[in-house]
Amino acid sequence: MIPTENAGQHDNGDCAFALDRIESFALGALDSFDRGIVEHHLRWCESCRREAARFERVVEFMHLSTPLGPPPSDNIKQQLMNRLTSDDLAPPLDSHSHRVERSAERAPSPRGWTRYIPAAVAAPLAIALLVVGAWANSLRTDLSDREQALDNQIELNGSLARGGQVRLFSVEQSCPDCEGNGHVGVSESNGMGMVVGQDFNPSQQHDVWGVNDKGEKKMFCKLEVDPSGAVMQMFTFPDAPSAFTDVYITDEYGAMIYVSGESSGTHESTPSEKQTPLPTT
Amino acid sequence: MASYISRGRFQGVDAATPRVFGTMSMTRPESSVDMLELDDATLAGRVADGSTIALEVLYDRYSRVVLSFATRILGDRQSGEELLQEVFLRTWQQARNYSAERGSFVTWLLSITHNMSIDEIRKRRRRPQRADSADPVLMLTNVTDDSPSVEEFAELGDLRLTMIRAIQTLPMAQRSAIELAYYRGLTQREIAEELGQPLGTIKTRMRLGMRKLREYLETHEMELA
Repeated sequence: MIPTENAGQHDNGDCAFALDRIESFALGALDSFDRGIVEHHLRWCESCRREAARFERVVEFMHLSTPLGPPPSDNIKQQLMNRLTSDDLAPPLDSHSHRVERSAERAPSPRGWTRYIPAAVAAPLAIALLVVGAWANSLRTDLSDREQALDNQIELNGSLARGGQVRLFSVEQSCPDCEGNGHVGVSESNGMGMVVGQDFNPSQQHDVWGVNDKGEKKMFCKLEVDPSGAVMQMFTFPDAPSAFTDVYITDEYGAMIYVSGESSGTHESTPSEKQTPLPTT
Repeated sequence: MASYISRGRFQGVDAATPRVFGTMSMTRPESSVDMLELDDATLAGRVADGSTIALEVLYDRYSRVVLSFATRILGDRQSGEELLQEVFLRTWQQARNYSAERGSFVTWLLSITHNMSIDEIRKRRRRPQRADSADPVLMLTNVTDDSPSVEEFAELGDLRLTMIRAIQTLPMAQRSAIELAYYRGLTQREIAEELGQPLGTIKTRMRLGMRKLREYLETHEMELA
């Protein structure tokens, strides 16, 4: 890997992955998986964001050096203005409205006993873990309140995480195309993990991936999402869990739902919004 | 074209004229004649508020620029004109995402154009090729083209000449890797397959080429960050 001139400013291990691909990222030459990882990293790392901006400016200068051709035909403008005023064209969107629109399209969570199928399955699944006794005790479902989301019904015990028996990762909603969020629990002793979450798009395929300390990407499992968008699934790590520094969940288009690093409970994060000229999805 | 330049809506890099964004007249202009006096950032804000007149003014200013760029990537004028409409429709829908702090409106607009053009090229690759589809011969530099460039239209001085010289400093292998990504939207992996080269080789060429371009532009005092 070619060392970067700004390496001294980047003390985060994640920077190495992003910096190794920063030029290709600016050119749009990364595949969707790598692009998603770099995009997510840039939300958090100002140093890498500055580096990316310098290469993006090179690309912008390429745009501006294009020779100028003849003007467009006169009818193009009229066609455009007619389309603007047509009823089926959406008005200008703000930067978050697409999320609101997508959320409105989702079917409401089903009520009744079907919501508790994941919870009913959780107990026998949890026993399979070596530290399952403590894990199972940490899970409790709030059957009296049917309005609460799934992650309010299942509360992971923070003391487990602090005791080192189980590592917890919180799934951050960082992908604009999926509202999925929740937790991933990892048992170091038997190499098993468990995904608990909600608001995943059930019509899309979601995969769980990890990146190990060698920068290798490995798929852990394909998630099975309940029609309500809930997920509760166990999986086996292909290598020792401690070797993996990052865990990701992707949808079928490669869009990323990043699973953050180790936390002792719910991870509250407000990543600064990265302005992009155009989403390419 | 001269009438657009004289209205001064784009300050460029003229040190004698401070760059001004977001200026508003005391009375909110309602007519297209008033809109003509507004700078790009203000017009973009009006578009975000739903002003079709503001979008029309921006179209009049930059449609030729967008069409030239789109045609160059897509290879034919008809496709370019179709994409021109789509670019301005996207601008209509996402004007609120533009911020003058990130750069000029024209570069934002051309970034949209580039992204949409590349998306179209990628769609075409997934479809059976039409008999009349042309594989455009695309070069980042064209020293025989005497027509004014986008940057000259947008009053950015000698950018094009500097960019041409910067590209010419690259070894052909590095230039090819960058061009295939920039004009044809190929990923590194796809470029490696097309050229029959190892992926690592393409990654290195792209990296070194972009670094050389950046170094050249920065050496010639081009503001890159």
